[in-house]
Amino acid sequence: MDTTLAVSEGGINVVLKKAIALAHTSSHDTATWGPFFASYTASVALAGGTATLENAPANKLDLAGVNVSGAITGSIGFDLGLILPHICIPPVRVCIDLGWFGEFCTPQFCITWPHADITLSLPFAFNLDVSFGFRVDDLGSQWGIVLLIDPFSPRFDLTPMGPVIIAAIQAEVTSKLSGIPGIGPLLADLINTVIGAFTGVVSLVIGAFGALINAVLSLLDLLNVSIPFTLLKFDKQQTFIPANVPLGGDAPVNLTLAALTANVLDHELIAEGQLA
Amino acid sequence: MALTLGHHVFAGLHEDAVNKLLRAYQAARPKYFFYACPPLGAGTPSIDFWILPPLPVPGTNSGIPFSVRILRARVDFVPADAGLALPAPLALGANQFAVLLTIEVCFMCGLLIEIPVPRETERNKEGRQPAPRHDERPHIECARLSIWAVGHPISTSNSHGGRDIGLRVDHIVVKDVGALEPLFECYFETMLNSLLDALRYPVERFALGAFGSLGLVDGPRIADDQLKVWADIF
Repeated sequence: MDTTLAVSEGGINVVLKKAIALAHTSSHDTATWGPFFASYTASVALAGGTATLENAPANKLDLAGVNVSGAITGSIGFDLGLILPHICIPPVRVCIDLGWFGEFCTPQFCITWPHADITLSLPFAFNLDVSFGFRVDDLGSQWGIVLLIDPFSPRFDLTPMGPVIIAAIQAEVTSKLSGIPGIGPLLADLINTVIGAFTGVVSLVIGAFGALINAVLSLLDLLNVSIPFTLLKFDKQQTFIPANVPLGGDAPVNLTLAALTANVLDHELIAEGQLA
Repeated sequence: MALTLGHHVFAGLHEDAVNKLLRAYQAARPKYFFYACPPLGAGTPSIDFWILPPLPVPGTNSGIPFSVRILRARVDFVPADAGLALPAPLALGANQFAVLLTIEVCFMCGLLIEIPVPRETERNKEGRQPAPRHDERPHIECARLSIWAVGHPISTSNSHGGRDIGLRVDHIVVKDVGALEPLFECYFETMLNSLLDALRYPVERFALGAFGSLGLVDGPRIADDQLKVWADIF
């Protein structure tokens, strides 16, 4: 081969560190579970990680210990009227027919349940290990050594978010109901009713948050399973001596990088090129 | 064995690539391979050939047109190719390259071109022979010379804040020119090093797009038929 370029694991880590520092994005979603409606955004950023190279024939780049951190922000709203029973005080209204004087009914006050919502700000962090294969792609005017990520399933546990959300809902419901006169003795039961309703869907809520985090991760260039990540690019037309060097009017001296291969040997990424 | 030797990046340019570069250089910039005094030059002056003044003829205020043309140039990095036979005392050692040249030197006999001499007074010109009459039909006499040289790689700072890598001739041998050998060796070593200076390559350029910022930390060195450099990514 005419040219040989080797990049050590240390060099690969420097290149990837720059890519990882740029890897941050967010996405938004909405969902409804019975009376509960959520509007939420997941934002993630990558940091750290260590790359190691697996020799041919594996030809792999393993990236371990990438820190994924971010937050779920947004709100969960719910109409208490869809959760709590219809309550009137007294529960029964008594009416007496007074003949030609008309009808007399005892007074009754029925509660109109308010709408409630809570604001979410739920941080999360976990580590991610991923593996990539190498491929040389024709990018038009350039050759690209690209990384093809192996299918991966991030392991993270968002269940600690459940009690936090429940506590926030409990505080909000308590606040809303405490201002309604005449239901003091019923307050604890009413709150339990709301919490009971939410507990039935909390796993679905957390599952939706997890799905959005996965979706956001796949939006990152480095972790996209559909679009290869270009690690290194080389111009097909290599200008060995620029124009006007050493004298004004001197034409550039170009050679064409006609072919490029990439393999891992001795834990180095070896790119070999053929000039024409 | 790892190529990077503890650095981030290793780059090696094989001697075949350098010879391709020489051919590309000759195609893009033919004047660096052809130096001629008109009318010996062919093509467009300053593009196809480098304009030389006539070679002064002692006893006249004129010169004879002459040209120097590199017909063939080939570089061989250590270890030497099987067919390489360097004339004594040349030998290809560690971290060295050999270059083989075929050069054609031509004179246009029978044609003299007046050379203006700066600040020469009319009085000083007295006694100097005018250019002979052109009663001889101009004709071209050429000689081909085989030149062998050995040298080593160099690295110098460039105007872009990076490093240029290049080659420099240390010893040269011109054979079959008799007593003129040391004169020709002096002349062609100077010419060859001037040409090699124009061939210096900014080492950061090859990987510039790939790595963003790269600094030469070791090399250039010649071994295994390659010109080798090592760099770190910043």
